[in-house]
Amino acid sequence: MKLKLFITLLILSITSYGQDIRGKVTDATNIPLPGVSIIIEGTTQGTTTDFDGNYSIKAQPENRLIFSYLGMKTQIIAVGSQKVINVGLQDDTTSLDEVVVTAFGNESQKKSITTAVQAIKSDQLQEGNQNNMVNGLQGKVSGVTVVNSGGAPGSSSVILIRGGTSITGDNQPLFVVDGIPIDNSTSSSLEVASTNRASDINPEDIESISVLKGPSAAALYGIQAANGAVIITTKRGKAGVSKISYSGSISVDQILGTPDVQTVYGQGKEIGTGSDITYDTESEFSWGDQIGTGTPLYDNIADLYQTAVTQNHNVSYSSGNEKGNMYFSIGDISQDGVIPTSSYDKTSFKVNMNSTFKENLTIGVSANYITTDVSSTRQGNASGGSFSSLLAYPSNVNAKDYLNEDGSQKQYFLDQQFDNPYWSFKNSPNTDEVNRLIGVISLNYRFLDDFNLSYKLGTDNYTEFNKKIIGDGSLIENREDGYISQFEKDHKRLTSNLFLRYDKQLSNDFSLNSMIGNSVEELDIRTNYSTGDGFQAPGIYSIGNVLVEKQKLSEIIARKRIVGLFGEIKLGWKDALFLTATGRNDWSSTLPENKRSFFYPSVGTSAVMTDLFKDLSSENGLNYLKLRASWAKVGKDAPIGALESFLKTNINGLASSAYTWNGVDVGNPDLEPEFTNSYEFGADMRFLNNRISLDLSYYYTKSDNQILRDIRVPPTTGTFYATLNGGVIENKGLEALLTARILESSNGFSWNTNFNFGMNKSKVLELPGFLNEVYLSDSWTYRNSAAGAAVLDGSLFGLRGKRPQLTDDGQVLIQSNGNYILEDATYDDVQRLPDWSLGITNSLSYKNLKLSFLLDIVQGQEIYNATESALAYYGLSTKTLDRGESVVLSGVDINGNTNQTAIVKNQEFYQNYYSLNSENFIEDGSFARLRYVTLSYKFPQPLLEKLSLASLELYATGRNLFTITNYSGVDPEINTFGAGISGAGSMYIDNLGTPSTQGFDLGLKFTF
Amino acid sequence: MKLLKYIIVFSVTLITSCSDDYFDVNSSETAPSTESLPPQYRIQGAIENTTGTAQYRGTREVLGIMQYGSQNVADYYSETWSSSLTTGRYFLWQNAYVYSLPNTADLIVLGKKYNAPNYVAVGKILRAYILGMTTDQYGDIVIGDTYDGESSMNITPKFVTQKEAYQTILQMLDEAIEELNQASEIDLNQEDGDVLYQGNQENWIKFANSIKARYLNHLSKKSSGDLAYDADAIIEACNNAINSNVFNAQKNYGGGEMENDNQPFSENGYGSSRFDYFSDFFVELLKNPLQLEPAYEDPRLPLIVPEAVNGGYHGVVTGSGLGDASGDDFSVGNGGFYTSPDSPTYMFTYSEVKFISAEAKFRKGDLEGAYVDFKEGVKADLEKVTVAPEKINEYLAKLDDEVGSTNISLSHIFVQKYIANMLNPETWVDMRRADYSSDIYPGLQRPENVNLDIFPNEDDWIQAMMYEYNEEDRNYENMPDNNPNVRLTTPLWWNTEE
Repeated sequence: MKLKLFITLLILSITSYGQDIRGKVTDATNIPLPGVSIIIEGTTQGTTTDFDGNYSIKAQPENRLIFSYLGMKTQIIAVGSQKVINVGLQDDTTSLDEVVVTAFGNESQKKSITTAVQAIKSDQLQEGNQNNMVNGLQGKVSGVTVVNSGGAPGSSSVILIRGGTSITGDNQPLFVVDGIPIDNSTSSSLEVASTNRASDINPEDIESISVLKGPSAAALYGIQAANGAVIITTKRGKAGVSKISYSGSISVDQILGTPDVQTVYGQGKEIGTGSDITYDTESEFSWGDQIGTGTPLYDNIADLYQTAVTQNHNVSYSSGNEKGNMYFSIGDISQDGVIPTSSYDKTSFKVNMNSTFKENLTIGVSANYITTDVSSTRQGNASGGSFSSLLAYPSNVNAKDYLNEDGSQKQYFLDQQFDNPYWSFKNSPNTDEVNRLIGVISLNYRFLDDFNLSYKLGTDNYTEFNKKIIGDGSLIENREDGYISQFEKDHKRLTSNLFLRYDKQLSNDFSLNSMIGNSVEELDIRTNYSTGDGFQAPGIYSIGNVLVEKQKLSEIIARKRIVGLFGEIKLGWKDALFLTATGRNDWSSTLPENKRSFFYPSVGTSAVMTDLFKDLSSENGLNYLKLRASWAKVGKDAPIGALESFLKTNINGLASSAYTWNGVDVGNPDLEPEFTNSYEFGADMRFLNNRISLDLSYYYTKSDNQILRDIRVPPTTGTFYATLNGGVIENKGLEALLTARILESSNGFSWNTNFNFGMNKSKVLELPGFLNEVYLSDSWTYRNSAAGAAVLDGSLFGLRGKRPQLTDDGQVLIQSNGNYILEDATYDDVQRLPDWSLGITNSLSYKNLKLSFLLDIVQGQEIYNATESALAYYGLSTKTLDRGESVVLSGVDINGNTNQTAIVKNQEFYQNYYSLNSENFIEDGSFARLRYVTLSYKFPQPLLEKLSLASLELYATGRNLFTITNYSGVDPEINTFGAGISGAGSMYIDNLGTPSTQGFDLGLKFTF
Repeated sequence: MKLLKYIIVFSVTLITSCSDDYFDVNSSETAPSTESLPPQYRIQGAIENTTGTAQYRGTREVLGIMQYGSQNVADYYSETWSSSLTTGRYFLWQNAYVYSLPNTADLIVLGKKYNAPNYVAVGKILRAYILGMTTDQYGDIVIGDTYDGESSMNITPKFVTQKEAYQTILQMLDEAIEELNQASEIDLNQEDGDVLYQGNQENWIKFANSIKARYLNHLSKKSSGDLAYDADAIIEACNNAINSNVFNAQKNYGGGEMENDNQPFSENGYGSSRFDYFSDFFVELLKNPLQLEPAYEDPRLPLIVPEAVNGGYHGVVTGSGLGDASGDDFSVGNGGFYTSPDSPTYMFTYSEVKFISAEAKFRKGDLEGAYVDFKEGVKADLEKVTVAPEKINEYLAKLDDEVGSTNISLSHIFVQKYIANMLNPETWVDMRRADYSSDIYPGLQRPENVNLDIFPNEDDWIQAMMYEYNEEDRNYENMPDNNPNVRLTTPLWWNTEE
């Protein structure tokens, strides 16, 4: 202490000589910058700006002042005769002193980071005008795969960082908002498009996002860190700046297209085989006779979709002074769907307040209240699905003619057992309402100079009301009187984080940053499910309107407690060589008592070679080179309630009404925690006066002794699904981020471009027992022809499906009827995630005009096109135009002789063989897509002053303007079942979903 | 640094002191677990899943093979031993191993835990019943490595031979009989769960002896070895077995609103659509079961078989489907004595005991005794099916006239047992033991459209079931050859001479 006082006195005494210099430091938009460091070159004398950006310093005329601020370009100004020096600092996107947010909101200098972290700022995130913040990351972060699930309003998006580490668990990263983990689950995505909960966050409230890639970066977060983490920092007020901002847009969207259908053959089914085929027109199939000339034709599928309009409005107010700051916003989005009656409405309120009490205690409160309402139509395999129902309308039948004169639903053929989609829009609504509150209270106390104690208490609570109705008057078998299926979910998550940091410059060369922390997490989810069969009074869609005997109720309560204790030590040498070590121990309620506690460490190092070896760098060659390496192990606990086997009553229509074993909720009392080991190497480089920067990472992760929940085992085990430890997954990959300031001319023209490249391979090395696949029936496609699967010695994101049976020497076995035999088998060579992806963002500006666009190239993923399989089944596919032709399938008979028996390509063949044979529907899904183009114009200062505005910007964005692909379906970027499918997921499975859209936005932003 | 110490101490105390309570939230609050319910709450489920899931499925898959029923479509997989039946899809296998056996394993564990050997015994009897039914359709099966309520889940269970399975089944039954004679702390029917015998342990002993008799009798082709056919042992077991229709092991249905309160093969039952029509073979057999000239119609025909809409009793030829014919010309499957909503599912009847005893005595050469048991078996079944007393007397007199101890043959016994064991998968065992002989079953023919790829010759008949595809996919190393050309055509162990 005495030393410090002495130094301070010394500085004061030195600076008391010379002249007084005053001034104000602002950013590029004239907003004052507090805390800017001003140092007299070659000395240790300096000061910082106050809350209004003002400073004063004593300096000699021959001195030069260095103005530096994190994230801004440093400026050096000679004092000369000036008494007032006002400085405007410019943003520095490639600053070497860039700050990134890492685990637990810790802000670290980028050079000291030993792992892969990539930051996205709010304007980058908002480019492309995506309502779902997860989609805002698409193509902008290397190694991150985002797959959205179609064009239905509010539909979910999957985000995967560096592939996946879990065979049966969720492979998506942890989402953290202002230090508190939030829920990003997706519910009930099998029947309707559902929302992933992170999309509740209003992108306008986001200041920046840090993506912590892989286990090393996220090790301190523990559980779930194996999949990386998305750390979101929300906006807060700035000292000395009060502003009101508005941003809004209006968008129009239309679907990318619909599949081609044949219009030669009309309604009917084939009767008989061979040459004496007759047609029965009482059918939903398009296997009938040729449509007569002059008969009106209907493009039923394309006619269904409409142009959708979305309005998005956001107003925010922010303010601050030296005692505190506040940010308040209201956001409202109301989106109509491309399918009539579908919509997405979200309103969010956000408050963020921080206040300083005395000198060293900061108190912060933030609250985000969100209501999200979604109306959707059924899709995929669900009975009543819009797309699957439309397949049942042959080209000579008008799907819009669906009402009888008495208002009841018209049957266009005898025995129609599905609903007309237009009837369903009116009578079978599906709604989902979420009310959510995310709140954080934080305290920060600085003491004894080097210590910082901070505490955060956060909640993420929401209630969800989900209702799916089939209206009375339905034609679906056993649903004539309607059907209701609903759930109410009450999700509560409480997080308490306590940290003590100790940061100290140990000597001239050595620095120490250390942290110790405790985290407690409590999760309580209560869900009430009810179904009711048949409404008593028509048109009243409430469970109370169903006979008591026809109601089914169940309640599930899932609870979890995790306590973690963790620490981090970072040693720096000469601000150029860093060594970091972390450790965390968790105690989880989901594991058996004796296995509840588990520890896992990480170590990493980084070296700024250009600082260590000054000779390496030159101004116009290599400016900067940092090498880094890290190793981490992260642990994962079990899913909730996986230790016991639970009993159920009435498990099927045959089983007892008393409690019995059900072969599904089967737990394992001996589970152990699972661990993922990973290492990675990286290099960060800057060239040509920092105009080009390149960040490279290579990583390897291995997850073994996985906790496999609900894997299918042989029936003789005594269960359909078992829970056990086993299985090994490996991920290898390479990431590159290339940033180039291609043009930066003084005449106001500039061109910046970013290349985000990532390649990853997720491989299943081992599975327990004799299993050769693990699959989840949730991704079964139309008529169960295929499903996503983790395949042994193949991809974690592989495929299984019906395939022709082979002989021992690998030839297709043909039966005496000339056809093959279909059996369920895996594919060892199909992978549904891209080999590599490259997102290229470009930003060209000239004075106030800016053009930015993102070109996304995604290569090597295989798509399963179940939509085409369904079209073939119904006889609508253009491929079925060769009906009636004979063909000899290649293969051998049971004695090994080459097959000579011809078959006719008729309805029987197309329905029972062709459309079920999954080999017919695997396609290369590679694509290149112009994801968005935005042209924006910022109005010039003089005009703004006349309007009393601080800024005014107009922009126009076009989304999904073109796609280059060989994929035969509507859109190669597809995941019909959405983000709710864990494990192998359902990415790139095309199964009768709502087609993706392209659209156009007009936006306006202004600030007072 | 004091504060740091405090935090560490605080956290460690938090974790260690309240760990038990604080972390004790993983269990379900809304559903019982295998460990939380005492055995009296589990017996009903164990019994009802034995009949409802295992036996239903064991019957359904062989209904066409036993030629009790025929579907309206031609070439139905189970009737012509084709398509799904050759690819091992959804048979008795998973219903036995997943839906039924685990409950019996839990009963055994819970019975021991609660000092209730009677529950252990019931667990073993039901287990023997299910395992017996299973091995009789598949041959080698898994016994020791499947879920036992105590060991960790074994996902690579080993198979045992059918001979070992039989030994285990017989041993389990002996143990059960022994355990039923021990004192127990909990009555079997304490929670009204003993839906078979309402807590009467003597009846359970009779049921155990009946199963024993059934399995000993399956060994009719074994003349040597440690499981050689032993007529006296069978007769002894029969003497201690079910001795009246009152003690029949049967699961009753109420025919109520809930699907599982309905006989599965009835019109409101889960398997209503699996029994479209009675088969031609069955109906014609009942029109003249004693093969008399002129034909002498069985009084059970109108009780078991519904009349066709257009009049008369007509079955559909197995494998042929309706073709162009009208369904109204045939007798539908739902609605008779065995296929009405409140029809019971019979596990074991008094008449079967008598037919087993008759067969043993016949094979022993005791024709007198064989006929007495045969006649009693027929009488018991006529009474069970509620034939009018005067018709029963008439029928029995006819038996005395036409059969008697002089004429009695295996065919008489097997035909009557075939009729009495309607819908019981045990019939398939008898048919195979009788080599599907039309000398034993007059008029029996291979189904139409039979799968000629696997059964090319006139005398090729299906001998066993394919193991399920999911067993093959996930436990192929432990599983016997599952090539359909082998599996479906190779006789089981008990069906080979030894």
